[in-house]
Amino acid sequence: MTTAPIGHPIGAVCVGEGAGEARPPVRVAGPHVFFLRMAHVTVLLFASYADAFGTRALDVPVRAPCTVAELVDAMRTLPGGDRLPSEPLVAVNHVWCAPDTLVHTTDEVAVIPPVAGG
Amino acid sequence: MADVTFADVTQAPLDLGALIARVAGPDAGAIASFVGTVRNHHEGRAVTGIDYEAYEPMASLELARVAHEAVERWPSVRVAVSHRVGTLVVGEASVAIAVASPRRAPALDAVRFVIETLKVRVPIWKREHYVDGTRAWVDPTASAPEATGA
Repeated sequence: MTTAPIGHPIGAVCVGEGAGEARPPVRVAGPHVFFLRMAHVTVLLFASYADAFGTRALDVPVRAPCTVAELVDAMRTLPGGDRLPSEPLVAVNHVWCAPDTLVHTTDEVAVIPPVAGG
Repeated sequence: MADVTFADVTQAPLDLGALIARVAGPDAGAIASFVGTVRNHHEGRAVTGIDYEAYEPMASLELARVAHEAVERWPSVRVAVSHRVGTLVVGEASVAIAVASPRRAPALDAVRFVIETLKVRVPIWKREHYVDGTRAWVDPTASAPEATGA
């Protein structure tokens, strides 16, 4: 017969978690763990890139927020991604952005083929 | 001069006279303009028309930013610029710019700045139609500068 320990501190028991092993502590809270979850960023596509990916709005699975460069790298793994140049133009919320710009799931992101207006 | 900067992306045929009217005024001693038109050839191939596609609203916003930058560089100028989208036939205007200034030099310089800058900054693309019925998106980064665009 077992007796549940009344008043045992909640969260103090981590069954199967690192018992007797030298593991780094698992972070179960904090902003990094909260925000760096798998998500989708919808990327708008135009002209030759829309043709390459076969869509004008591509859902890209990434940990968000991520950088523009990480988002582009994730796109390269998708069908059509081999058509992207080494550093494509990217706009976030209608402004041109550098590869280290952070992208959130709520941003409007566009990966843009070489422009040819005029 | 008052800031009457105007920029838009439109499906309607362009009207240079309307743009000139936007920038004209009694203080203007010069009005410089530029009109880019659809050419019947590109890199040795006969072209019958061009589809222009824009990323809106960014294209309008970026076109306005370019126009405002011209005013920052040449504070005496007034700028109006329109870019057309949709399917255009040979000879139709794809972009029109009008710049007014008390003196000619800033007006001429600003017109050149606006066309050269919009061609590398504003998210608009063109797909050429060829006489054999094929179509292809134009990539200015893949061909000689003198062979591209208006």
